[in-house]
Amino acid sequence: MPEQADVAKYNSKSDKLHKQWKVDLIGFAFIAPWLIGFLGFIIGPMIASLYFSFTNYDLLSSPTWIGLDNYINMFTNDSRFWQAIKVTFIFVFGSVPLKLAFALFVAMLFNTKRRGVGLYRTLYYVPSILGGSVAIAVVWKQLFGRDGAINDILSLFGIPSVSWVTSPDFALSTLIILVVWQFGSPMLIFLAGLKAIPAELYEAAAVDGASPLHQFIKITIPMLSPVIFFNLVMQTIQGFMAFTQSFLITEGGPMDRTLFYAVYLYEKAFAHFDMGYASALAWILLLICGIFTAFIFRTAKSWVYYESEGGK
Amino acid sequence: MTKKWHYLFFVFVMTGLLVACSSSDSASETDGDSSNKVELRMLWWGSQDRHDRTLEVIDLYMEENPHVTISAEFTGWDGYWEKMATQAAGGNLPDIVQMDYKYLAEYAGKGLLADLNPYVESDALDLSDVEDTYIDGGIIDDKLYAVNIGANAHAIVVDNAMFEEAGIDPLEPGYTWEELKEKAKELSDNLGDNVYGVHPGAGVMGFKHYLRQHDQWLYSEDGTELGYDDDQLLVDYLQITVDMLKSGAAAPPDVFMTAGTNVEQFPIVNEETAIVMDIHSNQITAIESGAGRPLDLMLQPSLEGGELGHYIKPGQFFSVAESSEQQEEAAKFISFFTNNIEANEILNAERGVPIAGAVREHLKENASDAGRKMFEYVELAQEHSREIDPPDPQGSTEIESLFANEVQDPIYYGEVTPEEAAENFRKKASEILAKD
Repeated sequence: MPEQADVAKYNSKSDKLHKQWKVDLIGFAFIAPWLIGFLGFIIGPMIASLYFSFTNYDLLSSPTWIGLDNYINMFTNDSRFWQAIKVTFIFVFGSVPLKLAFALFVAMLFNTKRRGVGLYRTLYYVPSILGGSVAIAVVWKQLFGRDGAINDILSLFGIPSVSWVTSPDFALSTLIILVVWQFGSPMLIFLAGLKAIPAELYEAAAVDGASPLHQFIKITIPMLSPVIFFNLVMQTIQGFMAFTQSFLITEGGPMDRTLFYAVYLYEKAFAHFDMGYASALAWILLLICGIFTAFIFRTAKSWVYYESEGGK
Repeated sequence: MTKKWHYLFFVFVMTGLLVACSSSDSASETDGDSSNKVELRMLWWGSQDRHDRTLEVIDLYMEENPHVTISAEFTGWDGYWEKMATQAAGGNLPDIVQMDYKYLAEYAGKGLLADLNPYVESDALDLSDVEDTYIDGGIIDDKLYAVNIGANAHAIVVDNAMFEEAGIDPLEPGYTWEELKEKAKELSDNLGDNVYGVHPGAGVMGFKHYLRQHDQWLYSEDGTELGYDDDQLLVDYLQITVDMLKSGAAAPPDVFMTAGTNVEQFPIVNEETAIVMDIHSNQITAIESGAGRPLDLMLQPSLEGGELGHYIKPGQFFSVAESSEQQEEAAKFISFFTNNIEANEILNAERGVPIAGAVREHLKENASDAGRKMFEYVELAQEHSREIDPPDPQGSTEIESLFANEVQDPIYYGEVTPEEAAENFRKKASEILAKD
């Protein structure tokens, strides 16, 4: 802040304050566009949706206040809500650990000095750039369709065709495989973390005769734990909010076997115009994400290692 | 200190400007200035093919009426009602909107649609060439809220060449459910591996038809409960599909579920089934072009000693928004859309059979094969029709997804018995209807 130098010239207190005010104000002026966006497009709608969640609102007529009815209905009288919770939990607990393990595995492979490693890194990151996109969902639907490439490959080995996307037994697994395959962004973050681990630790361990597996458990995992922690939180939240895959590939079907929470919320809001109920669902989703994030943060003390804390 | 306020004021003015800039283009000022310019907005759903045809008709209208500008908004069926509800909530419905029978009662009941009767009386909207059968669907409480822009009928699709190949006589109007079961089984047996008689339908559309054949309706008159009392009706209806799946007459769900509602991907397109249940007659064009071979429309199976199940359905409507300041001009366009021969040559009955007599006659003479089949079929269906039931009540979209998720699909996959499905459906549907 160059202004600081100017400020120093002023001796009287009030002048100083005045100057400080001015500096603050300029700061505010600069962040005003974001601030207004935040108030208008995030905080405002959140407050509105909290209000709607206590009403019966169909978009076309004015909301009527019904108190806690939406929330009570949800927990006592809505089997699809529980189905959505079940599916979402299976999805999160199935896809997040797999995705992180896979991302770490690939990051380890890329953490070498081979030629052309940059090109491969880029190639493997591509699916994630296309992550939430419609195109990938469509491709996936084709690949795993009844006449898709996956069945063609399986038939080479004499395995009978499976209708992956429309079979009640396989639909959810197919979606889990899809998100695990989009491992790029946690992979890049892992890669950065791996690069930050001092090489002398491994050298010292090797001198002491530690096997690679041993080194991985005793050095890599602890040194990487802050990064694992970050990825775990981000991916868990993302997992609870997943929407595109189910909406585009299976439309929540067959028989609600892939009814992600977000898809159910969307259906309530825009297919049945039950905006009040959908707002209530949204707040419960926020609560669930909050609880899980808090839980991960709670446990962090016991497994995340920060060098700056002198290694506990 | 005043400097500070200067800054703040500056910030507010700037953001005020930003907000103002971004929200001014939607309100077009038309307060009777000398040039008498009219600007209309119009919204519809449909396929790319429909968009192209409709846009061409709009251009034609604007050529003939240079003072009118029509800006078009269009989407597929998915997302259409979200868009429309959002616009309705924001108080900026387009002047002309395409409307479906399913939502008509809801929108009209909330005072969002204009009564078009005054414009019929003032001849802005000319319906003199239209029979009442085609107009009635758009009337609620003696007010005309919607003009039908294409009639269609419930139908099944058959591939008569496959019947011939299997050495089976084609289905004739008046055939029964039993006959359908037998013939579908024979088709499965006589045609190759992985070819099935029928792509079954255990959906709400077929069930409604089945109820009509029993002189019943899915909803009660006031729309607060189910309209049929005996669960055995639903059990019997579902049993038909269960039997056909069991005997191999019907394709297993793996074969037809992937296509969803996308008719171009139905198994009949690849000659994997010879019959498809439960489509709308105007979909023949899309299915036939997907298949690349001639297919035919046929009536639903009839019930021995039962009532007529068929009715002529307004495939879609045009409505005018109550909030529109150009209601008369909007009505004029709808009139053009309904009666103008040149416009309808472009539209080519893609939305269903046109409602104006002269247009219908003209198109029938010049229709493509698929088009002619549709015209002839709707005439046939009309002979087997009785009056249409009232529009579905509020909450019907929820009832339909309940039926799809907890009745239709589990029946296909054999996860529930018809009895369980019927009982569960009654319980949950009653709750949904009672709360609306």
